[in-house]
Amino acid sequence: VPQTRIVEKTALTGFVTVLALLGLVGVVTQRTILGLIDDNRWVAHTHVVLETFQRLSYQISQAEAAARGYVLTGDPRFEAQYKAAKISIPDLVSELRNQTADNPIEQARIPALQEVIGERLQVLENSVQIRRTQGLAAVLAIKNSRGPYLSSEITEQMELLRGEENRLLAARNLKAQQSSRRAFAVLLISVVLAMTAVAASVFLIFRDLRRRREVDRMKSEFVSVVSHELRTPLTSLRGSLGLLGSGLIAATTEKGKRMLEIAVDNTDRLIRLINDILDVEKLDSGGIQMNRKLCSGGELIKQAADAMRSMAHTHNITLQTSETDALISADPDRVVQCLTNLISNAIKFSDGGGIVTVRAVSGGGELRFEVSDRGRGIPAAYQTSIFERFHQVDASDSRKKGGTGLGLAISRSIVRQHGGRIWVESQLGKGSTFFFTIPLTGAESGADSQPTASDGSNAFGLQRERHAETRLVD
Amino acid sequence: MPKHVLLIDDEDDIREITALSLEKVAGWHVSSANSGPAGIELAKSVRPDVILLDVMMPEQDGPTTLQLLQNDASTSRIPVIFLTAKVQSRELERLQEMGSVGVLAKPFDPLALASEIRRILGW
Repeated sequence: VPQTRIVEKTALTGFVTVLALLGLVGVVTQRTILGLIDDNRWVAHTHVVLETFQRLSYQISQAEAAARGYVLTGDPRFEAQYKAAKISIPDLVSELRNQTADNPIEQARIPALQEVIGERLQVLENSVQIRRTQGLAAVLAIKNSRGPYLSSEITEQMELLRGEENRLLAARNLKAQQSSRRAFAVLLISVVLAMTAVAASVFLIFRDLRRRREVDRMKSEFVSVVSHELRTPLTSLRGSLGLLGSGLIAATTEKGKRMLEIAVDNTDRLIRLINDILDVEKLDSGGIQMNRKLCSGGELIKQAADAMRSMAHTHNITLQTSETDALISADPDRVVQCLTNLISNAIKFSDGGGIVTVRAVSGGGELRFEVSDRGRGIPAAYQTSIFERFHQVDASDSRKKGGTGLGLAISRSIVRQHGGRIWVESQLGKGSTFFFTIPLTGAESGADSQPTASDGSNAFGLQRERHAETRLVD
Repeated sequence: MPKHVLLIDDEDDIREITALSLEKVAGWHVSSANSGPAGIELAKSVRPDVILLDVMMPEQDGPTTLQLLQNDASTSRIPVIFLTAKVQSRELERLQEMGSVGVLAKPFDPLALASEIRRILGW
């Protein structure tokens, strides 16, 4: 069920991310395109202004030409033409003023242009009036040098404004081009981002599903192995009790007593197995809270060694422990359980007369416990898998050595719940050392609570020298 | 002439109880071995009427042992019955298809074991 939730959560997170991304892409694209439209509008506006300039120039030239024509010929059609052009000019100027309202530079120049145009029109008007009332000779008699000057002044003013407008046109064209490019880039990036997000979501969902299948497979394998492990002692129990109960074998005979012994042994084995299965299940699912207290590593070693001394005695093994005053924040019962598991294994796999050593070394922000034996050793291929459930090097060990195949899995869970690590170093025929670490008090939240392998070993190396005088006790 | 049964199982207690049950209930003669290789050697020398073979054994498991028995001319005609604590139906079918004549599940009733074997073999 939690796996299903994880998949659902991933799917939901993925889709929300994609939707959010697409929403963002939509907003950015909309803004970019609006900007592009605006830029194009401004380019079009500049063209309109330039056209107004054109029309204004044309009407001024038209007024000048018509006035000149009328003065020379006295033809009233020229006068009509002149009047039509003259009337349109103020409208064009105010049109120009409105169209360049956004540009203060142009706005500042328009009054000067207006003034010079007004003056020019006044000169024309004077000539036309004099021609109408006094004739051609009177007009020719006027010595007015301002006409040509005003024309060139108008042209100059107009050029200034047109130049400004052309500069604007170039700038706006450039901006519009840049906007187009940006819009294209934004769209491209958006599409790539959205596709990446979709691909990532799909990948994550598939990965979760694969993990879920793997967990399901491991669970069903665990159930199958547990079923097998439970049925094995039950077979002996059912068999021995069946033979006794039927009366085929009398309980008082030698064979009968042997059947009872088998029944008792296998009942014990079942009890151990059931306890360990429950323990490992609860530990792995986080169902057991670590009851952390401040405790001394040395005291925990002493407790574990005391508990194992009678077993060591039975197997004729010497148990050596070293002292340490390092303090750890840990569940003392669980750490002792972990130590007794390791010591029990070390005793079982040692030859009679052998030595099992238990010690603890602090360094790198953690306390490292070590349980060493000089037994048969563990082949390299098994040095990782022995920490899995029911993964003994030799499956028959569980029967011969009285184990359940779960001790190391339980120990690993305990160590992991304390934020530590567990591993083994072993040489075939020479023995094995099991290590596990528990973070030291105060260092748990520190950066050095999980040292790298090289840092850790250096720190331990130094620490080892400091503990050189550690007393060994039998 | 009593039937001769060869029992191959790595569990000491189970070997002891199975042998006792077959001897007491059916009056058969039982030889036993605690591993596949030892069982094959014994099969060659005692030529049993049937082999009861455990499935989960270290190093050489039941199916591998069965294959070796079938590949050897001197043991290939001896019927083999698997005795297994793995009881999922898929597992049982797989064992049956390997060439065994039958599969018996653990735990078994020690009083009914002999008659189960008779039923499978048609004795």
